[in-house]
Amino acid sequence: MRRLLVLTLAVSIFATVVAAAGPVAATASAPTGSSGTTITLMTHDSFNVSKSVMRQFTKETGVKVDVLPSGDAGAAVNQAILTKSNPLGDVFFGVDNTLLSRALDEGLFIPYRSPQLDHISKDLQLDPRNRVSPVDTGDVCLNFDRKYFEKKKLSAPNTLDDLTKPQYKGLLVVENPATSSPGLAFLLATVAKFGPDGWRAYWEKLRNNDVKVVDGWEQAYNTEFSGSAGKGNYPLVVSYASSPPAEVVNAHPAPSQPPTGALLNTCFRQIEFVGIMKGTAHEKAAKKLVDFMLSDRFQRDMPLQMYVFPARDGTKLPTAFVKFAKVAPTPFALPPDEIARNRDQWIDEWTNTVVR
Amino acid sequence: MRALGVHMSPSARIDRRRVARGLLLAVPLAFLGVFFVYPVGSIIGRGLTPGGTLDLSPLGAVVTDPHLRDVAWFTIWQATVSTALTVLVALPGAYVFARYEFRGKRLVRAAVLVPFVLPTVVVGSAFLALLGEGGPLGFLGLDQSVAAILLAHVFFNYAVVVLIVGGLWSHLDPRQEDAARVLGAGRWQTFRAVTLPALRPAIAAAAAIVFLFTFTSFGVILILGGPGYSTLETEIYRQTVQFLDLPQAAALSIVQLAAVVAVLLVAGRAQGRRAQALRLRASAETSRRPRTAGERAMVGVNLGLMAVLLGGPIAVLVQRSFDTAGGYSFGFYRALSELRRTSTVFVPPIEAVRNSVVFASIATVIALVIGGLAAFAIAGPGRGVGPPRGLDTLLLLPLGVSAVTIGFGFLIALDRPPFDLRGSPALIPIAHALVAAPFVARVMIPVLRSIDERLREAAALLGAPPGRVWREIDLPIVARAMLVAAGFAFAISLGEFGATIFIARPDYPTLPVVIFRLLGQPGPLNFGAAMAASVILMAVTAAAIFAIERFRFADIGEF
Amino acid sequence: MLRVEALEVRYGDTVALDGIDLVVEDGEVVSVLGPSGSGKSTLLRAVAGLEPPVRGRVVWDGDDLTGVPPHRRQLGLMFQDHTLFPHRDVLGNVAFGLRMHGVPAAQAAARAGELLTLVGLAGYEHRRVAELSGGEQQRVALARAIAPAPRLLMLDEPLGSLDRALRERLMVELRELFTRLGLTSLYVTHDHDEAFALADRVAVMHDGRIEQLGSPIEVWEHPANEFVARFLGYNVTDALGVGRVAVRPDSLRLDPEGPIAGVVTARTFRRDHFLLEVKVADAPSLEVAVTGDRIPATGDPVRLAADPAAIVPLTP
Repeated sequence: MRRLLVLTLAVSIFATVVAAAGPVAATASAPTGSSGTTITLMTHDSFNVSKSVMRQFTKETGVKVDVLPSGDAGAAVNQAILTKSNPLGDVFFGVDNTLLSRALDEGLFIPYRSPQLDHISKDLQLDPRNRVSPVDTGDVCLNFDRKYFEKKKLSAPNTLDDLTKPQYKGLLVVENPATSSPGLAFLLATVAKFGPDGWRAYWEKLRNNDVKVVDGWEQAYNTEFSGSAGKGNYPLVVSYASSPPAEVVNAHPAPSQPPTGALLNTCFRQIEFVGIMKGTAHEKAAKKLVDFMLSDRFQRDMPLQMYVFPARDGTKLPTAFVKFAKVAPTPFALPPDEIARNRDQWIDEWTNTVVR
Repeated sequence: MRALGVHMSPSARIDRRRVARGLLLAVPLAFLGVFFVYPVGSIIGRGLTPGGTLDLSPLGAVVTDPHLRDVAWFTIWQATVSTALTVLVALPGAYVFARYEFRGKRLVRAAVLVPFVLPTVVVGSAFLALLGEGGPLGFLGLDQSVAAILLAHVFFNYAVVVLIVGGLWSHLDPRQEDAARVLGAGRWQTFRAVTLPALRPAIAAAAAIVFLFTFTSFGVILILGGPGYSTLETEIYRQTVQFLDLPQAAALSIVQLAAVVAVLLVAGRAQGRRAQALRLRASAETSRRPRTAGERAMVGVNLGLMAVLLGGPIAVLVQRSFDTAGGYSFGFYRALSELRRTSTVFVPPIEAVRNSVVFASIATVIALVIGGLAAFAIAGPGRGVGPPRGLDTLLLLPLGVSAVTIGFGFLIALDRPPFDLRGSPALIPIAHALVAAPFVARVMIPVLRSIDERLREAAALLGAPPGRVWREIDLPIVARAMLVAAGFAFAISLGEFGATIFIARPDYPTLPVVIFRLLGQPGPLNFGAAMAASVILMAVTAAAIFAIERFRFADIGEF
Repeated sequence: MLRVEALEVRYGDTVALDGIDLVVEDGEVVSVLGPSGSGKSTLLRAVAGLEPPVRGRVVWDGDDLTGVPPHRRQLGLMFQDHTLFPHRDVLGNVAFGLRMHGVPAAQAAARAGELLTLVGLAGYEHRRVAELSGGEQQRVALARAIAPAPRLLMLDEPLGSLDRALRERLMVELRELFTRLGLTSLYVTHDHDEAFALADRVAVMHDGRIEQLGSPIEVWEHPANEFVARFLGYNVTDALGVGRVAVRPDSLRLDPEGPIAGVVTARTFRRDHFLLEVKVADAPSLEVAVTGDRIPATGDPVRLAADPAAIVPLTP
């Protein structure tokens, strides 16, 4: 009996001591030592930046940044909307053009025109009132397994239409647009390409050509796709234009050529934005963070941290990106308000067309 | 002679016990009130009052929508079948653990809990390696099918039945079965007439838990079932996280709650009016080495089943964690401490382990306190003075409500002092304990109910005050069940069950978080390192459970 | 001295104890005898403090125990069976009460050892209780109950589940033990042999009331009413022509000149006699104990006579 009590006590003490010592937080900035402001950057789970970059920000401005990852992009935006009367953060990063209208309509952000916007293409600045500013772009494109097509002496498909051809039957795996952000982007690409009346017929053909639908990118890319680590059965997958360089950077030993390639005529461009959350008590510090995220220092760091392209013109790209990452020349696009108006309905129709 | 006074009302002492129990129950009820009822009520309330006025039309729409009726039906159907299958497959395993000694038994018992903690997306990839086209079991054609869902549910929940039912079974006196056999009953008859009734409370508890886990199962449905299957849980997720359609989500949540309550109450009734007091024996006295060929076959077949069902997918993960480009090596394990070293999300593996263990320890302590108090209040000393029947069943509700609903409820409800926990690390163990505490209570209650009240009376008459009776009788007898419960609580937290995965949380990377992050990036190193982190998670789990299982109460004798 | 005054216990609407008055003097063994359901176990539980009374009092040496919780009453209770602590060995069971009273462990162990010797289980200290036979378990239970030296020892059917031979041996041992230790005891049983063998006084209970209270000889020879007479195995009959009387089977004999005529309907062999069931016209059957070599068979007509001294008149 005494041992039980001792055990209980020991566990409690252990837990308390370790808790006091603190579980180790991955903090986004070094402790400042000074009593500078601390602001919270609410974002999605894929947010990532070099420690040295954030240290530099804190050093230059005295502002410390706590990062609050809040699920995938959709979940993060929705949480921000739910809590807008008592916001969780000061700055929000990660709302993209598929979610933008909802976020703006809900009044999540206050306008701020950063001087850094002068260095960013007007095409990316989708909100004329500057409530949000573009930070990066990423092209959702089909990726293909080079080895598979070489072995089969088959040329990789070039266009969306090619995917419905018999030689590509049973080769494509896509993500469910209801649960996956690249899945939604690919659906939007087909809507942009075939029009609001034509895309369903296209998907019916895809379905007849044995397209496989899975829940999320992790499963599609890591498990079903034959070109990456999972060694699955599908040589075509919906992923990003930046995935091929990642296959080189994140491999040991690094191959001289990526084993995969992106099909640049199948891309939908996602633009990610940052905004200052309405209700922040640290507007000045928040502005500094927005400026910083649009600055060359942060923009240069992004490609290898988040596998995205910098929004800022003239940002120097890392070698792997220069060599292996292609940018789609004319990606598909849809106006954010059209997406906002139709996305739920498109997803429902897609579900009825493809999986029921 | 003095005139005889009328003393206390007949129930005065019973009333006093009721008050004591009420006080015991107050703590768990307050915990559930603040961290479950209030948040879930808030989010459902927000959904039902768009624009400030009550609007029940979405509820009507949900009930009459044929598609959603199909979804509700499929949800209940797959949970029922998964539960039945799990119980059927795991009961023989529970028997083997309860009645036979064999080499490595404790290790195997710790290992069966390993699947419980694995992220679904990781298990999904292992299942696919086995069941997908080209896999060794690909010919079965189970990829993206109901069968894959059911199989995965058995895989994840096998331990629940084996450990809960096996725990009580090991305390049953085998001589009662022997007696029935001597009276001419066959093996099957003996099982049905003698063993099954005694086990019923434990089976009911385990089945209720498995039912709720499978009822609210999320990743398994999406990943192994594929997009063709949806349940109330996946619909609520879709409506909340993707569409932010709170009225629709609230209506679905109400349907989910109603279904869970209905099923739990029916199951509670089926469980029988009251658990019988059992003549319990120390578990060490009831098991022995298998002697006959039949017994050895029984042990062998069950261990073989565990090896295939549980070991197969696990083996795939282990193999992949070593299968680097240059042959088998520790490359992926090294990559864990090298990949993205300079970035903010980098966490040395040892720190991820430490974070996981710290949160799991705290969550376990909370769950044991909350769940233990609830169990004693419901099934502790004093038969017939307990709270209304059915409360123990309803305690399980947090397991039957969507993690999204709870998580988003946290966000909008716990946003003001004194409960402003948004962004607080305390949220993490609390969310885990919310799932683990009902689990703990439900595991302990059948054992407490089986304690003969006269043992407590005997102790009282020998001079033990009520608190001492609790320490000398209830606690030692329930201790083993409590350790099993503690193991599950630890595993629940290690595996990140609970609302945390859906909500904003401070950035304390645990092992599952590390795994998710690695899987979210392309490249073979990330994938391999994710497998390595999964293997580490399994090892930490097995080690923790092994340590908990090995714990013995030296001075009160093994029980 | 235990004094029970007008004690009443109810289970819902059922009256389990209906105004019990009973005194147990120091050093006295009182046996509570009755069929199952008569309330005798409830009486023990109420005295022990396990059942709250509706009215009435339990008094020890003038102190009202009614509101005192069981663990402070210093009374011992030995249950029928199944109440050894399964998670403790024999020593742990016997020493339990001593530990609860703050006796240091070594001292408690030594005392428990003595008690085990007393009940004939020396050397059993570290046996598991589940390994013991039924008789051994009862001895351990007894040792456990008397270990903290309770001022009153209550025993609830302590020998109920044991086989006859063991029961008779333990009866003798218990009697010796009671005498040797000078224990004040309240002993519940449904077996009158056991009650008469062990008790200084016997209380016969029926429907929550005490029907008769007296020394074993008084009760045996002069059952107070029809219920007690029947419960002790008397024939209750009007067939003797002297009104309603009770007569023991061994007070009836076969006598060709006897006043009662009947037919043997059943014959049972009992170690030292035969027990006949004799159907008498217009009256319930009589039980007759007979010895000798000419025992009538079933169906034989017989005549019976009664020993006039053994006839107990019953007040209507």
